Amino acid sequence: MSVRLNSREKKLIEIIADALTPPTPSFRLNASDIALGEEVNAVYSLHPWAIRWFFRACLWILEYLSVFRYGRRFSRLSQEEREQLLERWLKSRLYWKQTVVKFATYVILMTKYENDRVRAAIGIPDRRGL
Amino acid sequence: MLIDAKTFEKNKTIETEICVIGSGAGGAVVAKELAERGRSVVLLEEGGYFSTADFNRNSTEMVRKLYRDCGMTATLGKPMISIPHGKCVGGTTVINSGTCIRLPDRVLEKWRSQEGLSDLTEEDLSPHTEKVEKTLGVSEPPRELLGKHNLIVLDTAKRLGLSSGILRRNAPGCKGSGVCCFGCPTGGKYSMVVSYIPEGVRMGMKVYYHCRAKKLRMRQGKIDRVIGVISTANGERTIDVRASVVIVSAGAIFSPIFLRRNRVAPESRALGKNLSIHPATRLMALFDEKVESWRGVPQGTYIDEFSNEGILFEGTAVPPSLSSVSLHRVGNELTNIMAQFSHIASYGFLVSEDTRGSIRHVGEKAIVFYQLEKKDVDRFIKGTEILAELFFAAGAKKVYLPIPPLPVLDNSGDIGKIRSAKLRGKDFELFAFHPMGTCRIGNDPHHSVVNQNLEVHDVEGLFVCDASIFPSSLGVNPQLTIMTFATRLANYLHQNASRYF
Ligand SMILES: Cc1cc2nc3c(=O)[nH]c(=O)nc-3n(C[C@H](O)[C@H](O)[C@H](O)COP(=O)(O)OP(=O)(O)OC[C@H]3O[C@@H](n4cnc5c(N)ncnc54)[C@H](O)[C@@H]3O)c2cc1C
Repeated sequence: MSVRLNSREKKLIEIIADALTPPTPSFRLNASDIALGEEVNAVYSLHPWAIRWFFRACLWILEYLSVFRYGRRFSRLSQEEREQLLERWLKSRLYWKQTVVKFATYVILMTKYENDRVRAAIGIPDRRGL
Repeated sequence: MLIDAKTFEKNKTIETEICVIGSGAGGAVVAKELAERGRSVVLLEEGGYFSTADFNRNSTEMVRKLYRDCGMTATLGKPMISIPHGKCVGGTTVINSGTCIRLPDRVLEKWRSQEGLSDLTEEDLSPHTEKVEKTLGVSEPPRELLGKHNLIVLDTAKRLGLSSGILRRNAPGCKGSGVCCFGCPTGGKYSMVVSYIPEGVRMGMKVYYHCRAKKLRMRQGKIDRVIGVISTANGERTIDVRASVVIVSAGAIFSPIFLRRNRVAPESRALGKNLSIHPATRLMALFDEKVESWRGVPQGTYIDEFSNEGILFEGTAVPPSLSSVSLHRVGNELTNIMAQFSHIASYGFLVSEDTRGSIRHVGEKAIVFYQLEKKDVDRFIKGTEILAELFFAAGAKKVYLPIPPLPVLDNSGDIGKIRSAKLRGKDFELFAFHPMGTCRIGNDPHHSVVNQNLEVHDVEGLFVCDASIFPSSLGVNPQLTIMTFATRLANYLHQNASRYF
């Protein structure tokens, strides 16, 4: 399996990230401002094979399984529908749904909140100053 | 000498007296103690070598370098429990919180009375514990170094009359950088890589890193050699370590796998079983005041009021990246909570559990089976209620639970929702930092793996020395106890040198 994510996957990552943590008046950065797709790709390529495979599978499950509920892929949903779907899966009593959404969001959120610009925006001083 | 085995151009053979496998809390201590007594020691470590200068506070980068499988190791079962552990020179001590708690008397007493481990007495163990504490400068950190998240909960616990205090740590040079679990950037935490290992190297011990011990060879029922493998860009190399004593210290997940793959103790029904992990979780809470949990000692205080019930509360500071995942919120709500990150405190607790898991393997890969029992789920419900109560008593505006199906709590009146939700194990987000017990000590070769001197039953010269030897969960953070047993083993080998060398 390829080590790098393709451009559709990188785009999908940014869509999921903005559904999880959309820009608000108190935090204005969106995922493309920090090139999150690229950043996840850089982190992801260093992970062991099984983890890369599972992450990729979770992305595509999320993208396509929304068809059953909304008739459209995740990336074609409105922001409100995306949030609803993520929330429903996160709290689902079906364990596999929870696992898929948790794993995909884990990698995405971990990368986002490790980004220096995001950390600065939420008030954390530069690492070198700590 | 610290040697990168990846630089070998061809296969290598080494003669030594003792070969230690794994350089964590067990391996580093026993290796250094033996080197100090003049024995020739070779230590094999699968992970890489990183020194203080490499620790740059970037948790994603550090997790990739210092943790096995980028920290993405988890149990199989419901819930899946994240079980991170180190893979580097110094093992998990490089990424641990530095808490040092002595083995509780009640646990030792239980081992003697229920397990028949009559040699393990307070008088036997405490000189070794004291030696470790002295070497690592174990002491209470000053109050001003404790992060605010620690103090908020400690002061409230004291006000409510709960037994609690400041945790002792092996970090005499701590500057409160707040990133113990990602490699201490100041060297203030005395993990093995800045304490026992350099000291052992000074005494002549040789450490080969990037080298995974794979095979154990015996000759006429005696230990003959260990074969380590090194993956290099030009293919696999091997290192053949001829030794009369082998000490397996690969940690509670990999020691049983190493033994099983080498068909050691085939008659033991305990090998790879009896796994306890101290499952743990944490709550977060929003305060009006700034908490700035990235400052100060992450794990600095404890509440042991409920430890007889198997619940021990300890401070924790979670970086924003992990916090964002643990909040289980979506959309504007998550963005807005994270925007107030400087006002969020976290605190955790571990459970000394009844559940037992097991370790199996597929090739080199470990599979950890662990299914949380009802009694332990009840402990998690109780611990969550107590901690939520404490946070509200400390003035929290909101409490975020580690239970995705439940809402955020707005006041102490909401705490009842936890119990009424009829929660099951799979509803909790859990972690485990202390795998133990998979090569347990005992007198019966069928129900244990090593004897009271940590020697594998019926295999002279083969020892296990790490978290896997404990017959039961300790109920407290284990590193000090592991190091105590490692010091004791070095002493035993020294006193019985004529038998082994
Ligand atoms: C995040 C975190 C925080 C923690 N905080 C604390 C704390 O504050 N206080 C405390 O008491 N405990 C803490 N712990 C637990 C503690 O660090 C461990 O219990 C302890 O380090 C275990 O020691 P060990 O010798 O059994 O194994 P480890 O320290 O894990 O060492 C095992 C070593 O063996 C190596 N290895 C494995 N297989 C092989 C092989 N085949 N060949 C060569 N090398 C091999 C591994 O790479 C590893 O380096 C924490 C753990 C974690 C994950």
